[in-house]
Amino acid sequence: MSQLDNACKLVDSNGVSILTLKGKVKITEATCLKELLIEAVNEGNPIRVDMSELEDIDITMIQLLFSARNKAATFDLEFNIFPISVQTKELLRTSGVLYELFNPNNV
Amino acid sequence: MSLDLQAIFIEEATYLLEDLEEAFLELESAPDDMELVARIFRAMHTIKGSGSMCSFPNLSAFTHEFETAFDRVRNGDIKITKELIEIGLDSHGFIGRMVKTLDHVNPSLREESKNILSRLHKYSPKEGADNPGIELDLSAPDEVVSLDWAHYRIRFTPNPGIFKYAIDPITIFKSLAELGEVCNVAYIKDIPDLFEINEFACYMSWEIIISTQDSRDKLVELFEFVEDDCEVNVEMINQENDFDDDYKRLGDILLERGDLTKEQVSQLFEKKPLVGEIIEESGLVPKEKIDSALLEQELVRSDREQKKQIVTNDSIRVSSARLEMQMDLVGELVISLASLHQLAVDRGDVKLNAISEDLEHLVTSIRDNVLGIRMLPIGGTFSKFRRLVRDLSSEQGKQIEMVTYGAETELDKTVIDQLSDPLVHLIRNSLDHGIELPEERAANGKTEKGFITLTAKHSQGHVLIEIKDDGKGIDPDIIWKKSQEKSLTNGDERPSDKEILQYIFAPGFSTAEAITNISGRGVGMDVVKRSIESLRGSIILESVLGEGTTITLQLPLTLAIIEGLLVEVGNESLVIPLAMVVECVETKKSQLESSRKGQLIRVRNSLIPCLPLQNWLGNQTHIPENIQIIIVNIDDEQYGLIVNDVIGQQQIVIKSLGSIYQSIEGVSGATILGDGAVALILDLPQIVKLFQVTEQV
Repeated sequence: MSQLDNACKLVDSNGVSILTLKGKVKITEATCLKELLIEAVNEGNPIRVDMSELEDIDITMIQLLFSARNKAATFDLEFNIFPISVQTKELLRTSGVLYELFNPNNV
Repeated sequence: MSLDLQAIFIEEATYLLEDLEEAFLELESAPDDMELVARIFRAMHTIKGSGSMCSFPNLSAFTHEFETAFDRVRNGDIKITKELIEIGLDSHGFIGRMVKTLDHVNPSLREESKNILSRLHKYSPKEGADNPGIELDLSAPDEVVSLDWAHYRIRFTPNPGIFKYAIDPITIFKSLAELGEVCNVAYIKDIPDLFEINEFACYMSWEIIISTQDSRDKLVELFEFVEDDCEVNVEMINQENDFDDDYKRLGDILLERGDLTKEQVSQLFEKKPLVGEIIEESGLVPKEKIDSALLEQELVRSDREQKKQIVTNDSIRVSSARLEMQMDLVGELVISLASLHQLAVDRGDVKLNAISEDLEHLVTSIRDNVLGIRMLPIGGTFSKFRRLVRDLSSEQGKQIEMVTYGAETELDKTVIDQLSDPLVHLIRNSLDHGIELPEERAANGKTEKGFITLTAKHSQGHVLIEIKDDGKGIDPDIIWKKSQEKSLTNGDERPSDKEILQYIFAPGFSTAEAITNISGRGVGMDVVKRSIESLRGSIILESVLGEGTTITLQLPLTLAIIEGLLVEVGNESLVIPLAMVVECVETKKSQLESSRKGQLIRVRNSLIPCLPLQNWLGNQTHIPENIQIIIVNIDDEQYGLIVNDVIGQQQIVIKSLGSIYQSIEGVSGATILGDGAVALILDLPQIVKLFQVTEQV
């Protein structure tokens, strides 16, 4: 399991790949995040993204999440986002993706 | 600006307008009263300031002109004139209409404002100048003047390379949110596979619906710094001021957006009714686009609904019908509770009785609460009369001032609604028959100006409304003469002055020498009395020749549920409104005293006439030796109702009688008792008339 920088960390916990995002995850962290998401998908375990300590995001990060969620679906892997901080939820709402991201029927 | 803030402004403006009208009317009789001038100035100033803050710019501009004129009055530059007060009252009406249209200046309002402001011109600082000093742009078309809430649809498609310039669309969305209410739907279908995605490219696009009072230009401005790196299309989707019509259907929205062609919509229509699922099934439009269109539809519809509510409702945002329904339900609850209580008593079940008592406590609280919601201050009705008195007195060449007390006194809305017409009639009578012309008053040593005083107050579970004038009073001799002429009397023997005055309430009685448009058609006071009695109230008339007349209306607080005294007469249960009950006396039939007019009971040195209710029910032979007498107060007179037994006091839910039973004299309604039996509610003034105090026990 990898920790490419302080903002993004991927760990295995009882057979679940947990990707924890902290602080600001924006375009400067995009490559790291993409690599971790690919790593998580390749593990073949259910994936959970923990955003409880995430403070700020941008569209690059949102796109990567959608991309990962769709990829996980093609491999029949569970992909869940929880818990999530209030400010992140609000940013997802402002960006018009909250419903899309959390509606399983949209995968 | 939130719609809530608009609603708060409308509420505040409505209150201020009431105050403004009152102040203008008072100013008419005290033009030098600088306190009143200051009050008007303050009200106008507040309307102007709050209007400006709450996006009523036209209203604000209008009141500014008026405020300026009154500032000159305040500074002593100009004097209050009758014309200025007329302009003020007209402005009051205009402002009220502007508030109702949410600051939208329609053609008729534009004409009205032009007229008022041109009259106001001569009092403005720029007197004599060509420009009347009006800053309100009255020549502009409605669409420009009006700054109503509008909905815009923004389609935002950034170029893939937009992130290179350190542009994050989220920043733009945050700025948009500051201009109004935003609904944003992102299109994500172009985001590639995780293994292929270029994390530095933008694949998403957005469709945003914003409800704002800002202009389209302001919205476009937000995208200015990205205009070379994206496609932006901002279009207004709804700015109708008439929001009575339903908003576009889903198919129309998608057609307007270019997501569907006319042909495609027609084809879908041929299949079955056009709904989101059908369009989605057709595969012509992606689901997120349908969702976005549905969102637009929902947003505009809900906004229109909200606007409708703001315009039509005042601070009580519950329809009267709902309140009525709530009251009916509480009534049913009271009846069910009575049944439960009856059951507990019949079974002698202590636990059930305890529950019933707990419930009674709760139900009483709910009942009082619901009744409280229906209570409104009578001040709103009073203030209408000030204008009436002002207009009619000047029409008649009289000088009359109306004074009110107790405007905060609360009454059930139903009572207030039904009270307006009788009050108008009584005030018109005072105006027409009571208050004399100024020269006549002066000749009689009175002030030229007459007074009509309206007072409302609570008294022993009732509301008393007093209409008092300091006019010429009623001459009993004239009334007696007229009554004889109209064959309204029972004989030639002249009754007391007090009794003679009661002929005024006889049908067809009128002493007016000329029929005016105010009163004097002889169809008034009997109707007034009937109206008041139908409200379970009573009317008392007192008059002193040369000094004036006072009419006192005694009204119940509510018409829905009353406290009643349940009594037994023969085999029947009857309800006597508790508010009319003075006391209960247990006595024997043989102890009653006889008089020419019937049986009397002596209560603390007073002889009170008795009315055996058994006779009214047709059970004369069943009057027992041991009787109960309920002393009641009707029209300021006391009577004793002879009953077999007193069952007790209880809440009475008033049910109206069907049309077949409405003609039964002496009954005003019915109620359902705990055991399911029906008890009649007595109409005591009618009962007294029926007996005419001649019955013998």
